[in-house]
Amino acid sequence: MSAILPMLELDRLWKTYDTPKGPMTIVKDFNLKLKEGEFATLIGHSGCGKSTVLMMVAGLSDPSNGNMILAGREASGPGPDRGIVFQSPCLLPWMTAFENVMLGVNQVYFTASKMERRQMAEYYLTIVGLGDAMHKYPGELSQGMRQRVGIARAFALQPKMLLLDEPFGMLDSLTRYELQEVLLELWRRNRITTLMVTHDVDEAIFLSDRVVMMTDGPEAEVGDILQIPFERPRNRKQIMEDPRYYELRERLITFLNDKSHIRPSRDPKFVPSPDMAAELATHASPFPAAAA
Amino acid sequence: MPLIEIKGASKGFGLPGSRTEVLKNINLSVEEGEFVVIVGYSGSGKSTLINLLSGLVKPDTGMALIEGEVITEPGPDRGLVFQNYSLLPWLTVEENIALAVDEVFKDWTPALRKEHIAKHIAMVKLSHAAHKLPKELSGGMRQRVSVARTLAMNPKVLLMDEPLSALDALTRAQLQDEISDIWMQNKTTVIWITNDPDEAILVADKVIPLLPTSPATLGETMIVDIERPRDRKAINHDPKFKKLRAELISTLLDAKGRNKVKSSVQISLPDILPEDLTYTNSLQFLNRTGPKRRSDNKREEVEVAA
Repeated sequence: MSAILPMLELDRLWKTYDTPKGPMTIVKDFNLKLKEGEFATLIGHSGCGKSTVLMMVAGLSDPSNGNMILAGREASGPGPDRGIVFQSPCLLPWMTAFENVMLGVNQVYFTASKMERRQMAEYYLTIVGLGDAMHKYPGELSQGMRQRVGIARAFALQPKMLLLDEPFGMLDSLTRYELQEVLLELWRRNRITTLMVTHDVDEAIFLSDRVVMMTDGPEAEVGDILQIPFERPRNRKQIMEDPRYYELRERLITFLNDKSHIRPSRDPKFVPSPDMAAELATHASPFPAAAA
Repeated sequence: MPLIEIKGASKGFGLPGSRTEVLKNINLSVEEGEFVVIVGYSGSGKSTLINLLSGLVKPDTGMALIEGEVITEPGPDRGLVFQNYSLLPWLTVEENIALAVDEVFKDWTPALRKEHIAKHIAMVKLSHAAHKLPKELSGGMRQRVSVARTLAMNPKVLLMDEPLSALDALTRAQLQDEISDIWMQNKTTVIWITNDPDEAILVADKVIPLLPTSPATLGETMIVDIERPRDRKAINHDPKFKKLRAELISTLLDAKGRNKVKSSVQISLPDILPEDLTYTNSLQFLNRTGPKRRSDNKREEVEVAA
């Protein structure tokens, strides 16, 4: 595959639901391209349609219109080439952590030996810090540990893309910081293209290469894009003491508080930020609705 | 003399042999009118620490003192607020508070007690819901009742055990501000336990990290020298806030990191790649034995280059 092709291309994606009051468009003309090995985050207010976009990429919800191209192929329906981590880890309670991970591993590595499949699950569970607890049942694990299993399960399949839907939303702040480090450690070893949804500004800055800000729904689209310049591997202390950190934080908070109602495609006075302009330049007709 | 203090206290649970030491050599001293927040991880012994102060748990060694007297049992001089509100479900807001007031102020006239109760309900802005049952209230409102009930006992010290952990972020922020406002009016001594570093810095005069060593110990006290009332948006620009936040979070994360037992285990990552299950027409695995391997990929690349 050519390196120029993006790993994921979302082209004029629409999602419309039928309601008793007529059709309701949640997401309209959503355009985004992710490079291979990029970690991008979708941020926006609750209910703006971030998770809708993610669920469409996951194949759990069909787009009403538009194209979704994953690794050069039209994507439809869910599949093991896209690993998902939900807000709650969704483990099968009658299986141990190890068995939960093996469930997917057995599917995608069915041509490998039993030994290799075991090693695969053990490797990822050890890296997330469950080396001693991998044969425990979900009921015996804390919320944070269960989410570690969820992360290990997604990475063990070596998917083309990783989709994270507010993966740390249910955890307290200190456990959240810990798990962010766990996620980055795995990601450092295997840079899977990642799309994450969050509403935590600090989390977005600490983890991602690019933060994609979504406008308010309905008819949500990409409102602005911010490139995060920190080098990897990242150190939380260094980043928190970096003056740029608070500038970036300020920009995201300002967008969420004051600018999230501005829809670039319909505002003639919209001036894209440099990062947003760079993204727009990669699309043939970024604002088809305005042109029509 | 400090109002409430802990001197060299340790506490463990379990029988000899399978005993877990939770707290070790805890020294804490809180002056009258101080707002102290203790921040720590879940399961690190925060609740045990506050139970030492409330008298619900006795230390193995050392002691807990209030106004110089050893604490042996719970009492109305120490008001407790729990994460789960602990309201009686069959009593209204007013009756729940009356339960505490009638018990503590037996010598007051009924009229005086009634006025006292109404004042505290108004303080937490629940006058409109005074005759509702707990189940008719939201989580945030229930916790307000719990705060009002505790304050109505006129305690010398307010002990709050993760009071806002069960609430969503918005309600949480609102209650942080409200409790700060109430505190500014009556300056009751507060010891508040939380797992949220931002919450700690926002409400406290002094923040003390509970380090997750095993058993846990208290870290160095950090003084929050930021003027009140604190505005949660403006505080983000305050260099003092930024510095404290970075310091507190890294202290807690570093302590956790140090505590990890560093053992080297041999684990091997098999060099296998997943089969493509998404497309039914990709049946390449029929033409080979075993899985795709990364090293195969490399070999292919070499051929292409040649």
